[in-house]
This record gives sequence, structure tokens and C-alpha cells, in this order.
Amino acid sequence: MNKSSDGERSIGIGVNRFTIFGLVTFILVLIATYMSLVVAPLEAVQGVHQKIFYIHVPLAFIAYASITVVLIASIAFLTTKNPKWDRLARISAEIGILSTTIVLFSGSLWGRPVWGAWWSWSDARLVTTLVMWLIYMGYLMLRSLGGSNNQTAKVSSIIGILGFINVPITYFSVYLWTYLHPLPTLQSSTERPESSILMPFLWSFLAYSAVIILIGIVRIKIEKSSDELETLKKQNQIG
Amino acid sequence: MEQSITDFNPIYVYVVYALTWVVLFGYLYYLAKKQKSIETQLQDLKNIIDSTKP
Repeated sequence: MNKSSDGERSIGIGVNRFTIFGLVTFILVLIATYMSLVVAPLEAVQGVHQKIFYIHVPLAFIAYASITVVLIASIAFLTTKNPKWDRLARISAEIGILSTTIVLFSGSLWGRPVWGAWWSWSDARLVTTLVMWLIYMGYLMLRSLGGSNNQTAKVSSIIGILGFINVPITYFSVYLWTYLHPLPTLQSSTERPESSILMPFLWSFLAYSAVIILIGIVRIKIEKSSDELETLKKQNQIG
Repeated sequence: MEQSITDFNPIYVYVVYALTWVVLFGYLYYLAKKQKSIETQLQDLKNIIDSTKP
């Protein structure tokens, strides 16, 4: 295993591990799409529209996971004052926003043919998901406008912690205030999910998790390179 | 009249899959371009610093 000039681990044929991971991720997405659109059976009531489930639900799980990372990293930053945790919180919030955006538009495009409406302000799951999106958009706007000082990092961490309160409310909203959004298909206590639905779901979850990890790796690389650039500029009094 | 599942127009499904791919891979492409630009700036700066060293 060699190390190239830009710090990438190479497997000795001039291809680094990041490129291989990118290729594997792309293949995973192709398999997941095939499994979802071709292999997964047509649902009796919703028909072809149920296939949106294989994008909507994995990305909802990823969004919850990302926002949980924001919570953990924010607590760790306030406790340790280590800027690494602050960077992790910011990157996770970006990923959370990206995933939630896809969840919102896929849900809307699923709702239109099945419920006959793009959106309903009466549905608690829809509204709390939008609130979650707005909280973390606010978080990122504060980070963007407040600059990279310690005060902004502290205030953002507090928002990152308090904003998490909305996550369990969003998750349990379908049990508390049932309206349009159905109960979770994969966790129903009365019936187990069929393997014909479960396998495409697991492939989709794996594939989209890999895409998100890839995005996270590139974001971390950008943060590291930007820090190095800023440090060099300061040391040499440039810019 | 009862609606058959074959009557459902799959356009919404295609739009969701296409938009998801565009959003995820578009964002990944944007980040990769940004990373490359910062790497180039960093390398240029290192070259300038090296060339000014006695």
C-alpha cells in the first residue's frame, strides 16, 4: 500500500481507495435501483407508486442518523472545546438537510398520486419533518453568516442540541396524530415485512448510506484542505 | 369503476428517482470540484512558499 502526493492511500496500481469506494457506491446504487424498480413486487393498493418507498424511507433513516450525529458532536464540542467535533456537527447537519430535502420532495411526489395531495398542513409527520428541515437550515445559515469564530460554534452547538428535540416528535408523530402518513411498514407489530420488500429496502439503505458516506468523506477532505490553506496563509501573511 | 394497478402512471416514481440521483450526485460533483480547487490553491501556495525560501 503506497501513499500518493495528496495523502491518498493507493493500492499500488495508481487507483486510490476513494476512487474504488466511489465505484463500489455507484454499482450499489445501480443494484438498489434494479432491486427497487424491477425485482420488488407491485403493491396491491398503491401499485408502482409504492416504489418511492425504497428512496423515501432509507433517506429518512439517514436523516435521523445525521441529526443524531449533530447532537452527539455538539455535546462533545461543548464539553471538550475540540473544533473537530464542531466540524463533524456542521458536516452532519449538511448531510441531514440534504437527506431531509429528498425525504420531503419524494414524500410529496408519493402523496400526490396516493392521497391526491402534494402536501397537508393537517398531517403531523409532514409538518414536523418540515420543522426539522427549517431548524437545521437555520443552523447552517447561522454557521454561514456567523463566520468561524468560537461564539458561533457555541451557539450552533446549542441549536444542534435543542433542535434534536424535534426528531423524536417527528418519528413518533404518526403514532400520536394519525392523519395521512401511514405507520412504519417495516416495524409493524402485527405483520412482518415480506422478504420481497425487505431485500430491495436493505439494498437501497446500503447504497444510499454509501453515497452519504462518500459525500461525508469529500466534505471532511475539504475542511482539512481549507484549514491547511488558511494556516499557510496566516503563517506567510498572505490574503 | 375500479382502478387497476397497471393504470397507474409511473411518472412520479421516475421523477423521484431522477431527482434523487441529480441531487445526490450533483452535490457530490460540486463538492469534488470544490475540493480540487482548494487542493490546487494549496499546491500553488506551497510552490510559492518553496520558491521564496533561500
